[in-house]
Formats: sequence, structure tokens, C-alpha cells
Amino acid sequence: MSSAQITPTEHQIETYLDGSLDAAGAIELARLLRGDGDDSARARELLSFAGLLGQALDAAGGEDFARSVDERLDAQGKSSAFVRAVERSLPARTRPRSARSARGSRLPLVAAAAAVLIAIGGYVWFIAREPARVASAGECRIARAGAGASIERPTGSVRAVVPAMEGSQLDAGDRVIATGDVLIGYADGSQVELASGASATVLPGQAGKRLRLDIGTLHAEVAPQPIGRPFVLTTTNASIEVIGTRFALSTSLSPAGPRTRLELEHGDVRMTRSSDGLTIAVHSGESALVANGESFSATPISTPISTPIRNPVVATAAIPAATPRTSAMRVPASVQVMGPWLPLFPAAALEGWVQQHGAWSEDGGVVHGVGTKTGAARLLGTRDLLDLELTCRLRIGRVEHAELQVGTYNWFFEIPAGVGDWIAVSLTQHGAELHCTAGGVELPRLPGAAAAPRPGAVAFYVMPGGVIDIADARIRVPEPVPMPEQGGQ
Amino acid sequence: MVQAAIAGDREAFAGLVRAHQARLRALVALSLPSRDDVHDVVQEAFIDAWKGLARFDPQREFGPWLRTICRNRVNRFLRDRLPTRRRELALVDEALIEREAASDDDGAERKLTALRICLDALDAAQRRLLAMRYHDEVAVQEIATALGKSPNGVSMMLLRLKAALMKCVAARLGTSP
Repeated sequence: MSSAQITPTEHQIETYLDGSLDAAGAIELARLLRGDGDDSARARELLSFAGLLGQALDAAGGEDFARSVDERLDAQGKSSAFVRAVERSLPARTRPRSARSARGSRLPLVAAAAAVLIAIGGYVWFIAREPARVASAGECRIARAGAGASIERPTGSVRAVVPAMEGSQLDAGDRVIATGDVLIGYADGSQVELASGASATVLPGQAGKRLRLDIGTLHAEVAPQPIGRPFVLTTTNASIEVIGTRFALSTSLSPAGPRTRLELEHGDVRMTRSSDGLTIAVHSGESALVANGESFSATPISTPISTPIRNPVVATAAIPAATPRTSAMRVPASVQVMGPWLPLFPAAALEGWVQQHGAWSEDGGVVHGVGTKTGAARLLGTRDLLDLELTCRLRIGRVEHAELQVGTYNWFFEIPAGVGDWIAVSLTQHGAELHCTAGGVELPRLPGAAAAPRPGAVAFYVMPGGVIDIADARIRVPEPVPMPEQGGQ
Repeated sequence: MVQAAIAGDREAFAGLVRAHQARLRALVALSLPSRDDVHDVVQEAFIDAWKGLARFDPQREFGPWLRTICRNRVNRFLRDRLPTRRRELALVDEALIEREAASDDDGAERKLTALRICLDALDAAQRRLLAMRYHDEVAVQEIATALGKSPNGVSMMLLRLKAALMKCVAARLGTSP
């Protein structure tokens, strides 16, 4: 294969792997996989190759595999009897945590029956909340959510954003965006607390619970997991396998690349660096960092990421709470006065904008952007802004959503396509304060470079094959404010 | 080793796992692109085999018997997850189930071995990109964000790398890519 073009089949397979395949793509890919022609053989070859790549890049060898099978055989033979014994001894679902001290000894990796009681207690809690459901190993729910927290959920061919409410069930593919801190509870009593500013995605977990920390900090308290089915937490550049322990994990993006830091309070975990598959053991009281140019080893904890779960969380997400004064445009919010509303596209021929990708035109005040079949369309502003308010109407076609990016792709918002109608969009950015609504619905802020708030350009972006119309676009930015004399108000 | 395993020797069975796991993983990877799914299914297949050893005829070959168990596991895995899958993904899974019934492992392990050799020829950044996508299963959009590149740019890099690897594998196996 020498073509440098992404074929529709390749695109369908990649979106299938991402779990975001649309209906038309699914029908076509299913047809190809069933077929007998060359194109069908090619589709099967491409899909198989993705699977083989996953195995070829896997560092686990025969010895690891034999050990895992052995552990699973052990678990099947022993854990069921043990859990039944614990269930018989469980007096009440309201039993306080401090009473969970009876010790068990049959599972080699479960040091204390207290942890199993937590698991059973968690199970009872789940069942009590929704009796019709049978909790599976990976089932999880929102146990507590700060104001503004949301869940981005795949619904049909689009991703819906719904408020994160206590009791909301989370399924594979759901992304939790913690505007305030969010506590996720699992049926076995495991808990993961996302610090404000973090986001995490629930992954399919046939082999155990799986959660990806997209950005920010989380604290976790993991009940003992079945042998061979660890709780796997991943980030962009690392993964950790948890048997049952308490720890904090933080991931962020820096100019040098992603950084993931683990701090282990209790227990033992295995942490793997994705770039080369190197795995290390991290023990109680140790931390480990995965980052470009940093050695990957476990060291004693020096500076804690933040306070443990259930205590007030000091977030260490990628957005610092304090906003640096980085631009002449930036003035203290208390004395900031926004200027008048002005057209976002004041000149003909989109002067002052960079048509970075795709084809853009302006006609009668409406800006029209078109992506090619394999390429996106991006219209990038040329003015660096840190504080702005922007309103417009967008009409997005042929794709699920478009993006409104700020800070030169520091952060972005996905604007849903709707059904071909115009949608009113409103964006405000005042330093670290960043909000966007579409059709009156608050959208989750998604990380681009996810650096500290910085002056940057606004951009409109539409996926390959998409079209976008922008109308009634207006913007206002702070006016210079005469600062009071020293000693004045 | 098979006889000892049938007699209940777990260490002997572990030897069988070590001997057959690579081929089974390659076989299952033809149908399941997720690394974790492959691990899970192959481990379950070995557990099925352990439980079913009493029914195995030692006069027959162990490998084909194991592969039949493994195919059944793949099929069951795909069927079991259908109710929880998005409709679009389930459509593809159903096609995979049909295809799985007709699949064979012709050269899967050899292909995997060749692929590992070809991967060794890549530089660290290229391997890292492939690992993010096909080992850690990170979405293209997220990789693009992490690397500060456009999603389309990442897709193109992956496309070129896969094309080069497929060509390399084909050359090593003496087949056409």
C-alpha cells in the first residue's frame, strides 16, 4: 500500500476502534467484513493488522501470560468460597467502615477482610439504589458531583452532554468532566475522586475495571480486585494496574509532552510507561513519574499531589487557579470593562483570519467553511486574546460537531451539529474563567494544549468532510482602563 | 506435558500456556483489535481448556483442540457484549461473529513475529505513536492533543507507518502486501 490518502475504509476502522463509528460507516464496514471481494479482504486485513499491532507492541511474554492464567485459576477456585463466607458474616448494609476489621486469609492478595466488606457494602449500596440492576464488576456511578460537573455520553452517532448527578450510571465511553470535584463509586466499593478540572473516561472492561484519566488529578481507593482482573487506570503516556490500594494520580500536558505522576499511599501497583512498555512496581509511600526526559523509577513521596480522597481536594489539574498577568490586554477582573460589541469578521475576504485548512468564503455576512473528504477546515484568528466575549450562530453539516477553539487551541468546545439548524453559541473567557454555551446548554471545556491560561487566537474547526456556516459573529474585548493613582480606590 | 496436565499438574499446564499463548493471541488478534480483549479471551480459553482436559483425547493434537476452544471463546465474547454495545458498533461485531466462524489462523503467529521484527526497525517516536494508538488504545483526537498535532496529521502518520509495516511484514513472509 503506497497511497497517502486515508481511505473511507481506514477511517471507518479507526472510528470503530475509537467506539465513535457512525451508522453509515457501521453499515458499510459490516458489509465489507462479510464480503468476498478485494475491498472486503482489505478491510479484514486492516482490522486484523490493528489487533496484531496491539499484540506486537505488548511487552507481556509467555511467562507473564502463564502467571495470569494461573492466578485466574486460583481466583476461580478460592474467591467464590471466600466471598460467600464473608457474605454470610455481613450483619447489615449500614455497618460502619470502622467495623470492617475481621480478617480473612484465603486470598493471597487480599490482606484484610475489611476490604472485602467494603466491596460487599458497595454492592449493597448499588443494589439498594437501583434494585432492578445487577451490578457487574465494572459498573460505576456518580456518587457525588460538584456544581457544573457533566457527563459527555455517546448517544447514537452524537455525544450528548448531561449534568453529572448523584446516582448517574456510567457506561463505557462516558466521559466525566469535573467542573467541581466528582466522586465515582464502583459496585465493589472502589472509589475514584476526580479533582476539579479533571476529566476521565470509562473504558470497556471485560477484563476488569478500566478508567482513563484524560487530564487533571484523581484520588482512588480501590477495593481488592479479583486476581487476574486488576483495575487498570491509564493516561496518555502511562498505565497502572491496581489490585487494591489507595493512591493519587495526576496527568497533564507540558511543552515537553504529557506527564503522569502516581503517588501510592497503601498497597502495591504496577505502573507501565507506554512509550517502551517498561513496567515498574510501586510500593506504599512511593511515587513515580512518566514524562519525557525523566527517569522512570519509584521514589519515596516528597511532595504529595494533594489531600486524600474524602478530604477537601486541592486540585493539581493542568489549569492553575491563579491567572498570570501575561498580556497588556489583561487587566484585573475587578476593574475590567468590556468594550463594545464588534463584528468578528469586519473585513471582506476574511482579512485578518488565516484559512489554515479547508476552503473558506464569506458571503453576505455569513462565513462558510468546507472540509475535504479527508481533511478538516480551520479558520484561525490572528489576534491573541486572553479576555473576550463572543457570540455567533453556527450551522454545522455532514459531521457530528465542530469546534470553537480558544487560546490557539489551548482549550476548545465541541459544538453539536444538531439537525441542520442554526445554533446560538456564546463564549466568554476571562483568564482562567472559560465558558461556552450552545443553544443555551453549557458545554464542557475540553483540553487542547491545556496549558495555563495564555493569550491566543480564536479558531473555528470542522472535521474532515464537514461544513460550517458562521453568522452574526460578534466579539468584545476589554477596553484599556485608566488605573487609579497610587492610594486611590 | 499434556499427559501431566491431564493428571492435574498445574506446572505442566503452565508450560502448555507458555508454549501456546503466542499463537492463540495472534489468532484472537485477527478478530479482536483491543489488546486487553485479546488477553482476556485467551486467558478464558486456557481456563476452559484446564477445566476440559479430562475430555481431551491425548491421542490427538493439543494445539487444534486449544484453538477450537479459543474460537468459541471469541465468539462468546463478541455475543456477550452485543447488548451493551452502541448499535453501530454492534453491527460491526455481528459481522465479526460471522467472519469468526469462517476464520483460520493461517500464518497469524508468523505474521506477528514478522511484525515484531519490523517494529524494531522504527525509531522510538514512531513506536510510541503506534503504542499510544494500538496498545493503549488512545483515540486519534487525544493523541493529536497530546502531541500538539492535528488529528488528520496523526491519522496520516499512522497510515504511513502501518503501510510501511505491512510492506515490511509482507516482504519478510514473501507475500504481497
